Amino acid sequence: MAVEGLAAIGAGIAIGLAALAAGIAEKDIGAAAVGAIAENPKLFGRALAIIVIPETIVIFGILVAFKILGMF
Amino acid sequence: MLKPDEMVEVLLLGQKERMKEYVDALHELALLHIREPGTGDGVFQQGVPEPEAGKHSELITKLRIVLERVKIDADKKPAGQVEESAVEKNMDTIESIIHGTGISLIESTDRKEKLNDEIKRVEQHLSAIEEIRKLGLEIGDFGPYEHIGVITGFCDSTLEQKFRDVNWVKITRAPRKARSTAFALFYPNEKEKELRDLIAGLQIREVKIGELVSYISSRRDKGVPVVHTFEELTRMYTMELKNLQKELHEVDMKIAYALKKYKTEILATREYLEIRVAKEELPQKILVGETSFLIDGWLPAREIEKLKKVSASYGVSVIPVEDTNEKPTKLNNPGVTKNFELLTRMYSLPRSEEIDPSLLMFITFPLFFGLIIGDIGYGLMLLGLALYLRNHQLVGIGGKQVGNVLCFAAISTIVFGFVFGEMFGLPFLPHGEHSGYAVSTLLGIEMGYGGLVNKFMDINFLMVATLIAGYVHLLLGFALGIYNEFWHKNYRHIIGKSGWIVILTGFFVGVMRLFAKIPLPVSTYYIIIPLFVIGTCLLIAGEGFIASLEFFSIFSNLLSYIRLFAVGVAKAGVAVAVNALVVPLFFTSYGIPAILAFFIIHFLLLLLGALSAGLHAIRLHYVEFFTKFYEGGGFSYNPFGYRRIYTKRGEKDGS
Repeated sequence: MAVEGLAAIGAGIAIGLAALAAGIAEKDIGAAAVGAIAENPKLFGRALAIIVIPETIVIFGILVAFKILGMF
Repeated sequence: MLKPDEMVEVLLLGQKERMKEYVDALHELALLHIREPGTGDGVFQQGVPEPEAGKHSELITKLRIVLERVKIDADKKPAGQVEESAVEKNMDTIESIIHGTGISLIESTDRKEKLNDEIKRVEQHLSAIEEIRKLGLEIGDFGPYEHIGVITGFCDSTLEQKFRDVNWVKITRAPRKARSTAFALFYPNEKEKELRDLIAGLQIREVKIGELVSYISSRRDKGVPVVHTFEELTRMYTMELKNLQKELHEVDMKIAYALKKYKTEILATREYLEIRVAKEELPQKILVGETSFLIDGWLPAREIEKLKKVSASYGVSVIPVEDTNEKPTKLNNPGVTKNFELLTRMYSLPRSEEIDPSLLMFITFPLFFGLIIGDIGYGLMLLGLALYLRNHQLVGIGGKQVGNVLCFAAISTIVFGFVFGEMFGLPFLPHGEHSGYAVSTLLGIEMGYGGLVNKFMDINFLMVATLIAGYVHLLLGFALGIYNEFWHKNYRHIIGKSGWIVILTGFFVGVMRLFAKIPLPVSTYYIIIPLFVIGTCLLIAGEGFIASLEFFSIFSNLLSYIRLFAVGVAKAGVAVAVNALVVPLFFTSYGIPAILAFFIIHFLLLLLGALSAGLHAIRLHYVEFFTKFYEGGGFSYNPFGYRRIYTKRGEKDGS
């Protein structure tokens, strides 16, 4: 198999797994946050900030993917 | 501007016999945020509300309930303001309309809610009967039998699956059209327990025929006719439904009539009562002694002269107090930047002495938002949506502030659209892989400009640019943090925050070396390792050893800003894919539907895009930026007073 093909698969795995992990992490936080907002709607902003924390993992995935594809 | 208004706490001390007049004047001033006192100290006691307060607050509560139920639109500008004395004269009429012997809006609206419930119930029963009739059985067929039990209801096909291997049950089913249809299940009585166990896990909505019959019978006062057929039952339910609908219509007419005739009076009475009750209940929030009274509260420092002047004319002395109590927050942002208070409030209201980041969000939020979407076509659609949202609600989102914030975001999106040379995901000029489909070739015009930066080609440049933006943003956050600590005289934390800045700079140099390939005179490690060491030392000195465990969090904060272009590229990628599918169809016989589809799909993409761009832009503020300086948790400045719309003070009161 060509090296480029393997690189593309690698990049895909890097983003895919990172996104999956972020999703799993956000699932629990999100459920808890919605519960908290139901109790006190004023917490919306803070809850939002907490929910999106794991998203950064995907950014790491994107960086690795770009690196694998040799874009920088 | 960057800080909420400065607040001062004052004590107002005056003669008890002039208290009522003074409270009137204070209310009209609408400056003082009253602080509720403790229990008093022997000389001063918490006052008691005026005798009429109970009656008035009862009426205002009922009035609020009614207005909550009927939802009258308040006028922005009523024809004229009514004098308070006129409202007072009218009070008895309004009272009887609200909960007296007259129309009694509270009863009518109550009745309306009940009728709506009943109609819903009757309609549900009616449709259940309709479905059960499809079984082809009559009421008598459903029992009661001596040895056989019957269960009727609605279920999907899992019912048959469950009873596939059971031979002592007979299931009758209506012809299947919907997913869940009516069934009747006959079984021998001695197997009842077994049957209940079997159907326990199924999603069955059980209907008891006997209850359907008794429900309608109980609604008739006169002798209950024995119902033998479903036809009769349906007829009775239909008749009942008609009666209920007729009554609902009558009640509706009554309410509408009362509202039409007395709308302004009702609203004016509400305003009058809100003011009156607030004044009458005020003594509970102040301290009253034998001959004098004491009010404790806050007001903006620059208004104190005004308060002093008014107070002097009532012989009340204003005593400023030095205190350590938490003060209320009155945000102070000029003009359009006021709209961005929305984003700050959504996180938490700043405390009174804290920096208010709304003004900074006014610059950075649209910038980030525009950078993420960066498309002229989307910007224009968003602008339209924003203008619509200013005056309307869409799925619970809307309002002037939301609309204005989005307007700025849309304008920034258009500007970045020019930078990227992109419209609806189409480049201005054909180039590279999507040659052929470009704004210039589609519209058949000559364009000399193709955008400054290309989202798909200049990845390296964009990454470096967003990282620089992130570095500056984080530095600003730390700078504000240091300012806050300086204000609170927490010098240790200043050392800690400087440590963070040094570490951040170390990471920034490393990342720049990696992405931007900036040539450095010495090896990168000779620069970043000393920075890390110095930074960590400062951090440990300032915030303790535990804080150093967070070392890498600042790296992830910095890299987080890459999302500014990553999300944008992902969005643009989807747009390109849509165009690759739809645009070629423009020139075939499907031209018109293709163009329609083009706009509809892009509008849906915009909704998704605006949602994610907004969330990501907000997140960069809340998570990366705010955590460097912001505490929040303030409470809102809410002065004792009322913005009058319908009423005005009478002449005799003087004002």
